Amino acid sequence: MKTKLIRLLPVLPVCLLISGCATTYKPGAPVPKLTELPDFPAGAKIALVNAQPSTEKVQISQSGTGYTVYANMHDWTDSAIRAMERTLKKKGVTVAGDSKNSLKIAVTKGTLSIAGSGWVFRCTVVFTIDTGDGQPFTLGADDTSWKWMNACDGAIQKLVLVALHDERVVKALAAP
Amino acid sequence: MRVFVGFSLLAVLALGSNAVAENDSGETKLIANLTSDDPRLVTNALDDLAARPSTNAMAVARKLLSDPRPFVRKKAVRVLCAMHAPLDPDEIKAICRMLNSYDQSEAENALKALRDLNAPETIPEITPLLKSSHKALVRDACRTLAVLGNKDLIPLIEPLLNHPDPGVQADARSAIASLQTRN
Repeated sequence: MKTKLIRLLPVLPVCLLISGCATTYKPGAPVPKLTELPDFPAGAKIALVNAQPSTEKVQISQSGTGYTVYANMHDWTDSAIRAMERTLKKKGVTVAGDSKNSLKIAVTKGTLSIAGSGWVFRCTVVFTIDTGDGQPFTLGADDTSWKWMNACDGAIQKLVLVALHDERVVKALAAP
Repeated sequence: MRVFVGFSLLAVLALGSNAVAENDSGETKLIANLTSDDPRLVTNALDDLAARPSTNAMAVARKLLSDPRPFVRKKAVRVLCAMHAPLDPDEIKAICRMLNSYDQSEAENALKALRDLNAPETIPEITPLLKSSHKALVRDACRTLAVLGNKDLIPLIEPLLNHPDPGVQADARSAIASLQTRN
């Protein structure tokens, strides 16, 4: 009996690895390289609004990732807004709630999958932006990393890049 | 003899219907994967589509050209243009939007894809890239214009003969040589 158990010991870590562990993750708010961003008009002022009401925990990890990762899209939108705010401030834009121009942002979907023949993780985010005309449009961003958390953080950073390169967002930032 | 012929015909019909059913289920699975949430399944399905083209799946894949997920979009444009898939003006516009992406690799991908399409109407969207700060983009723009354009573009490319990068100079020279033969 004892020898049987000893023989099974090497299998244990493999079983643990396969079963994975469930985590709820909220990404950070990393700022992209400022040189990768366009310039915005001096004195630009904007309000950033979290337009994702859903705080439901949803699974974002796809099969094959080896992890079970959950996310709350309201929190992910919050991270996106914090990253956007930090970035805009560094670019000289004032972010204030009382501004008449606003960007209503909602991360609607997050997906964590494997990429690069299974060696890396890819996190993809789909989000909507309403510049105040009541016609939200959909954009997406993704990033890869060999650490799934870094892939998620990177996707938020890319979200900021994608949003701030979109001509409709640039127009909203330039509006008087 | 008649019985033998009858059985043979039945066997052929049964095999044929099996093959049709397999094809149908293969296409259904392909379409399901093309519309999946998992980008990996979608991109694998695009590879399958390239290997075994199917009209219905192609129609689904064309919608991916304006997919919000950058990785899916990039793969879709690569596969569909390599297959010379018939694209409508809105889908070509979606490819042109990729030329303005912050992501240099997406713009390069779109430029390479446009070479496989007979779409000279996209030339005005490509020419601004001749002034890009990314030399790889400038080089790809030269190569794409050389395929899609005519000699009217030569004045726009000529300044690149003095570009500091020898690679850009070489692509500009080669583009001018190609365009000189076209009216």
